[in-house]
Amino acid sequence: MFVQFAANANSQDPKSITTTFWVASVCQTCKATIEKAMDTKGVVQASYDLETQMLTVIYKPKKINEAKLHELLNAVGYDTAVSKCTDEQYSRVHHCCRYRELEKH
Amino acid sequence: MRSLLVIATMLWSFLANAQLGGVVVDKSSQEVLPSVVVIWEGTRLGTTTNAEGEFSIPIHPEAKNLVIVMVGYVSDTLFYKGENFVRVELVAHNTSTAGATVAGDKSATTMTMRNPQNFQVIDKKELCKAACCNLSESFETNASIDATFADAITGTKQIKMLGLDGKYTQIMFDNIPAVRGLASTYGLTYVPGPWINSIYIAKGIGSVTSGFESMTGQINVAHKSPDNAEKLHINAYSGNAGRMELNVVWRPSIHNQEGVEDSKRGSIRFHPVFLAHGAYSSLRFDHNKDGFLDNPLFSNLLLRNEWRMETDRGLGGQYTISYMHLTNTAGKRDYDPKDEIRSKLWGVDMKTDRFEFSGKTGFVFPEKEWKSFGSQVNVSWQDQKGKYGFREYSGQQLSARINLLFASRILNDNHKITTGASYQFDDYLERIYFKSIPPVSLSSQNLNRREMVPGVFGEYTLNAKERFVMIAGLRADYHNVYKLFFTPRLHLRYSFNELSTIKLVAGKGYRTPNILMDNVGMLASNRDIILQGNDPNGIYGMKMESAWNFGLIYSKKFKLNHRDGTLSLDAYRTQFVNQVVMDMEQPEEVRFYNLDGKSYSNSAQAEFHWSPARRLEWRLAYRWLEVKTDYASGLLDKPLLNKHRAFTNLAFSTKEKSKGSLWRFDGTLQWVSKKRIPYTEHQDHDASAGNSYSQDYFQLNAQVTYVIRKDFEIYVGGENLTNFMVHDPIVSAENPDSQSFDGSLIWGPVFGRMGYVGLRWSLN
Repeated sequence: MFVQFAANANSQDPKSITTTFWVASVCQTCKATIEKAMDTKGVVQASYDLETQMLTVIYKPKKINEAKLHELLNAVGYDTAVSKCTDEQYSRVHHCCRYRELEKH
Repeated sequence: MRSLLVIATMLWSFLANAQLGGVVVDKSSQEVLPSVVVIWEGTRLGTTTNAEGEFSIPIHPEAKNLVIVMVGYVSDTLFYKGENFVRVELVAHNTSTAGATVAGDKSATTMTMRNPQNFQVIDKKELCKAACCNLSESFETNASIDATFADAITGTKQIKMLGLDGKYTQIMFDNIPAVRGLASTYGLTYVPGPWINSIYIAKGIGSVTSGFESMTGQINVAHKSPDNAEKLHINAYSGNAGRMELNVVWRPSIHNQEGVEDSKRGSIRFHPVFLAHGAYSSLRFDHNKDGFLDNPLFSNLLLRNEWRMETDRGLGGQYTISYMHLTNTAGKRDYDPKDEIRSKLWGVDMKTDRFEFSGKTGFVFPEKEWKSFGSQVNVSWQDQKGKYGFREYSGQQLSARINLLFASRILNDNHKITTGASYQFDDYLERIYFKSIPPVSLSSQNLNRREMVPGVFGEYTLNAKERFVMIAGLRADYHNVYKLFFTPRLHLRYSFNELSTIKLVAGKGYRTPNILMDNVGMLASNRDIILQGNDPNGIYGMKMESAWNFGLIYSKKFKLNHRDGTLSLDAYRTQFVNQVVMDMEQPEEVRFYNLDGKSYSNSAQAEFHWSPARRLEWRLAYRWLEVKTDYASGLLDKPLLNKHRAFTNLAFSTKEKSKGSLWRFDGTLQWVSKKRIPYTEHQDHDASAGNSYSQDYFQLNAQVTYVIRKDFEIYVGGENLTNFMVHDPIVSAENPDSQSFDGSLIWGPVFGRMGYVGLRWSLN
């Protein structure tokens, strides 16, 4: 009961926005890196679904904007639906997480 | 028609050229696995993974099942759904067939939803929340287990589950029953905290495959093994109570021994791990000014060496040897067993030596991963000598156990059976005599005994669509003294959905009495020990202890404010059929007799776990108990047991900086309600003189850890920060020669506020 109440209260709250977008990934390590990158001021919660490759972020628009979220993900080497990371950024991903090479198969 | 054929051919050639890529990793370590065989089921189309664990295999037009096989791992089959990349996580073989494998959980203490038993896992993360010098001290943030002092003098800790003494809980080291016989109380100190990889706690009756002994629960301690130990780990600790410790974990990496390689036989590989622990305490403290040491003086040396064997043909094993030497001195502030005059003071002087070998060998039938054979062999010898005031104790135990298990399935994976046979041998030589006080009631009894128990068992597991699991087990054992007895056990689990689960456990457990070492706390008193067993055939006149245990568990996962949480509720009842009753209701004596009437424990517990913010974990738990026994003087609450206990734990860590540095904060506040104290004629004791209950109290523990780099951290902590202590824990402390002298009625902390510092360094 109280679980539902809290969830509703939050969705009506104009102070926070929920957004969902695609982020490249391979494995659990990717998931951990992606979620860790979202551990920043202004982000309430972030959870990544490996199966659908979709990241759901709840953030406070007063403190952070959506473009910044994509920037942070690029910075740890992950492509998102709207922005690709540079090769230099991509080189930071763990060797078992090289999603670009794997797509060539 | 022709065009259809053309399309079919085109499709065929397209599919034939298409490749499926993938990577195979170890589920627990997430490390890539090279040389893994990947093959389409029913075809000869296969490949192996490269050094990076990657593979690429042509897609087969008909085969849909991709089989992934690796020695030392449980084989996996994937149903191919058209993806072009797969990631496979293989689970390492557990050569022991009993016990659940739980991996990849983030939360330090995890309730498993899948296992029908009420399992809780405490991992390294949880153990690092406190100094945790040894196993008995690692349950402070666990609601299911109460850790209390056995007496006010020796500093020995004992545990209780469901309000009943730790002897009714089956404690296992790496799935082999340990902490039994002479070690039933002290055995918890044989595992230093830094040796522990994880602890599995199952409340309620256990599985028949590990014996007839568990009644209130099972605790399985997984030591750091060749699979998961750090290459090198050093932990140093120092407390203001004068306690110093050094722990070393060393896992030398041995690369493929080429000499052993033989193309026909396959290679055999051995992986070792060495564990060492030294502890020393020599400072004498008497904060409560009762003339007795608050903490014992000790020097301990513990060594353990484990070898893991791997072969390419489904055969694997783990072999362990360990040696322990422990000395403990307690009693009057100036007691010194080596000094001619000071050794005359009332004191406790204990010495324990223990050797142990255990071996587990498992064989998994090639291409029939569901069929396996396992054997567990364990041999131990323990020599224990102790002086407790005016009593001298000496005990030797030689034990051997063999357990053979065969596991297979019936028709498909939904029906599994485990069956086997076991043989337990225990030979005890025990002696207790009195130096100066006249009553010699026990020394005339013959305490030596030999127990031989062959047994057979079978267990059936039904798994219906992952929703409903039933484990039904039965064992029959023949004891050389207590003859034939049966142990039925049942575990059920039903999942309403992915989030909520209900479990039910019911079954019977047995135990042979072992009066002196089970109740070693009583030796810290001058109480006269009186055995009143009325079974002419039983060991010291006592019947075999037996009890029924029933439990109902409900657990639910939820999201609150977008964050994960767990709520679990459980209720248990344990009802004794036979029990060896320890009766301290008469002052100056302790009586043991067979239960005549009722003896039971009712327990209920609620635990709430939630993450209110990022990197912040909050736990809140409450448990209620009602434990009553029919004593000679009537039905009474079990003494020295609190009806209520509640605690809350908060753990927070800062965001990890670039080089892995971060801070971790941890605090636990617990409340323990009043306890009944048996009547003593002595007026000075805190709780006697008409007030037969102790006070309730709060206790606060806290720790701050600073991780400097990923491999190096330092910690500072405090225990009992509320500084609550029992000021007069020993009855007649001023007169240790009198019969009323009693250090066994302990109900709270003896030592006040205590601080410690430590460091952990590991090389991975």
